[in-house]
Amino acid sequence: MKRGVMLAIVAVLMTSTVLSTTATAQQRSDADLQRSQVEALRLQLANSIHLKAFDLLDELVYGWTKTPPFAVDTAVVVADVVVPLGFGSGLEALIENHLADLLLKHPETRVRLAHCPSCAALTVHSDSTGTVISRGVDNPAALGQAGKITGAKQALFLDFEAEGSALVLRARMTTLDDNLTITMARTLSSSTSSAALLRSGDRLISADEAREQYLDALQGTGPVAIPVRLQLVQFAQPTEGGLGIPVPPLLWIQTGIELHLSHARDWSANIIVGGIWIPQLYNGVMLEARVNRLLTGTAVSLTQPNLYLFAGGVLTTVTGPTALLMRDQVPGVADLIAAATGVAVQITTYPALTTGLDLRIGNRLGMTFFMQFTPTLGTSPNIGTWVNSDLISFGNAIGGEVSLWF
Amino acid sequence: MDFALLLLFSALFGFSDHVNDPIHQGWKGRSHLRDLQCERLPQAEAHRRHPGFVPPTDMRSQTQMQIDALVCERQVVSEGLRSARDEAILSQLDSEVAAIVSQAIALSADDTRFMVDAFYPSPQMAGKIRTATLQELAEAGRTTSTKMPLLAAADIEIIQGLRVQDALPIACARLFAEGNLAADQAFVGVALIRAEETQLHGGLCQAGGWRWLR
Repeated sequence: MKRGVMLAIVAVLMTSTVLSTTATAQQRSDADLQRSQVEALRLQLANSIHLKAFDLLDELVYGWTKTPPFAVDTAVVVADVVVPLGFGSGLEALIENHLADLLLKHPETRVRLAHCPSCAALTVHSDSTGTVISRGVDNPAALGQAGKITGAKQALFLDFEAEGSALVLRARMTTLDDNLTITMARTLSSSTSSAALLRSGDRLISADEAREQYLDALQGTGPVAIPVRLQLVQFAQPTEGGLGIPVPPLLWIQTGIELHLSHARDWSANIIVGGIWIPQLYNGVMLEARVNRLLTGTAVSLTQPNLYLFAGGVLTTVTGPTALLMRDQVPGVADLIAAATGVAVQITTYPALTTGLDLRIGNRLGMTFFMQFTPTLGTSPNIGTWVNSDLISFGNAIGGEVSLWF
Repeated sequence: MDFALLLLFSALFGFSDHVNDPIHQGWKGRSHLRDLQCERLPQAEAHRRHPGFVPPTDMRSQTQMQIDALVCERQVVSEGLRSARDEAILSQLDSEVAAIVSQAIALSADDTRFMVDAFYPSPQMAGKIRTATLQELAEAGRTTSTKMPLLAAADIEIIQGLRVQDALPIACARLFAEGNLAADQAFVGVALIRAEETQLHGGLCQAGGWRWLR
């Protein structure tokens, strides 16, 4: 009995030890997971913030190109670059490099960067009045006495901070003398919901000019656009073992009208007419209506390709030998010759449902891949399906397009 | 049947216009919604700020009704990445600092040289607050120095044991007495007085006298 009680106590102790170890491990893994999630989020934010920060720097330097802060070329030390709270030194280095790049490309700012490692370092200075521990840039007299200021007259401080939904840059220039007087101060704010302007560092433009360019690009096509397309439609080969004659590819030239249903161009619709004319093979006309839905984002991008999913309906009429191949029987040689020479006029009209993906670049160029379903041609021995499985077969035709918009 | 289809299509197109409204994105969770800062703007102003998303105003429709746009912007730093108090203070830093600086300027002579320091539990945050205050003063056209008036070591020894609200008036008197703050100079101190509050307090030190501004 006593032995049984002892065993029970040991079992309870072991269980509690195992449970507590498991719980500690669980807590540790939760903490690790949380830390890694925070790091991943930080990295993602830093990637978008650095573009906004570059934008603000561009704006600052652009202002200096128009109104230089100094009358003559002046050596300036970058004393401090402070990034938003919670972000690391990698972002500081990126910002400092971008600033140096801009200033080197724009000598008209009259700001010459000077190298002064002691300015940012912690210095200890003792004299008869006392001992002061500070950064070099906060005690330039001490640096001057030590001969460590390499001709720099001014110090530049840049402070970036994320304040709500805006990134704010506070830039100030301070004299490197005993007074440390602020000679230039400018605060710039960026709205984070608008895309970074990504101005070229070689030719800076003002925010207003950049906005005008953005508007021009937006208004470039307007709500109505005229597409011109070259389309190739390839029907599936006849079913394996069948006696059908493959339908030749149809090469269409199309045009029509496209209407953007919302200002963000996330929805659009178009009506297209097309024609083909290869007398020995086929002649034809078609009418198509499509609805497009943007898949990449909630608004169309001006700088990145946009991918649309579309669905629509097509009504096609074909004449000539190819029209014969769309019938329910395999045509004979005599029928084909008669159709090719115009002795017998053959006309086939068929509806189709179409769906596919449309990749558009810069509102001007597009590439499309699609699949068509032609229910009325399903009984033709000359047309198979592209997707064949034991359970389902579908897709009588596939095709591709190259489009231009005007 | 036709009428039902018409209703369905009109609802679809209506949805395409409102799909970006955060109220229709509740399924994304609370943290997603809390990261948004929304404000209602007249359509013209919303178009000026976000031309890619908001169409320009139409003269005819504007005469019949006032059309607004709900502009929602995502916070740069998501909730939870920084302390809630720091986030609250940073999100209104400009207005907090502007309120203190405007009073300091009103109480000082035109030729006063300003110096600034900030007192906050985190040194990084103190740096941010000091920078914003310096910037506000300099942009208001006042002579501002990044120099900080220095206290003697013995003064610091005594003052560092006091609460901020008690330490600042004493420090002000000592700075003037020791000649580290001249008569034509003013010291603006910005501080967080209680750990649980999200409002900054500011004071002005001139000729040895400390005055709370806020």
